[in-house]
Amino acid sequence: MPNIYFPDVPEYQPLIQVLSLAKDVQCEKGRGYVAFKSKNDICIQREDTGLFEAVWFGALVGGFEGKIVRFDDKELRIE
Amino acid sequence: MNTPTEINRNIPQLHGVHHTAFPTWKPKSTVEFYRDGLGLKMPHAITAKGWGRSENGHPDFLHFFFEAGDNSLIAFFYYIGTKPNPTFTALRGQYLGLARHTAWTARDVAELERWRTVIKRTGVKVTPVVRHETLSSIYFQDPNGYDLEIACQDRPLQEIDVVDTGLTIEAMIQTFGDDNPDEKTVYDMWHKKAELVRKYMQSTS
Repeated sequence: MPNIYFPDVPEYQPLIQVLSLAKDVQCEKGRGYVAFKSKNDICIQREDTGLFEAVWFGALVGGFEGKIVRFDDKELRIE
Repeated sequence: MNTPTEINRNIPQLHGVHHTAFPTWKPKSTVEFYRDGLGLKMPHAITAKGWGRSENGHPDFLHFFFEAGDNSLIAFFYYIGTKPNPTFTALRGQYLGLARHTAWTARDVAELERWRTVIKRTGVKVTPVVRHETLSSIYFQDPNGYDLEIACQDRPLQEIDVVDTGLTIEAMIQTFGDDNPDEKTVYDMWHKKAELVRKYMQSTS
């Protein structure tokens, strides 16, 4: 079951918002972090975030549990 | 947990950068770029006979300074009669070259754009404004090949930034130590980070 964590700061809000709207993804907030977990793959399309490369490729800054199956300039997918 | 901003009363404090210094074998181009191109004032220059160490092979030299704002300076040594040393000036490859650089402060993105115009006028290539986490930057090189950056802070850093830095650094140390282990990847570090973040979220204070 994949998990992903983000510091709850402005530059990661596009990623947090996309996952907040995703189906079957549970969100938990606490102590300045936002955690998402899912029974299915966690998937984010970069174009949905509008992020430039510098922040996009730092999307895993808060850490993750699971296996990265794709992380390129278009998609981040954790299974 | 110790944090980077925690003040230890037992040690003195630093008050910003006074100057950084680099060797140059292009003193004319260096002055033309920094003084005439970027408009930096030159408040100080030292000229010396081997710094009293000529017998030990120390060359005679000039050491000259450019003002970089808020009392900070960037300085150069010109060692008379020496040959350019590629260890300092040769291109080190894109990522290693950028790893050692000087970054100056701008107030905001508008000021970064004004600097882009000034830098382009010198004939030097400069990147568009790059938005990072918490700051924006432009990058360029001086005539010596040294990498320069001008950056502005897009938002003030908060307590969570300091906490997150502490957890990242702990994950880095636990994953890599000083051993440069071949089998460890950034994914191993991010797994460790997740473990530390989860524990932090579950702890009460």
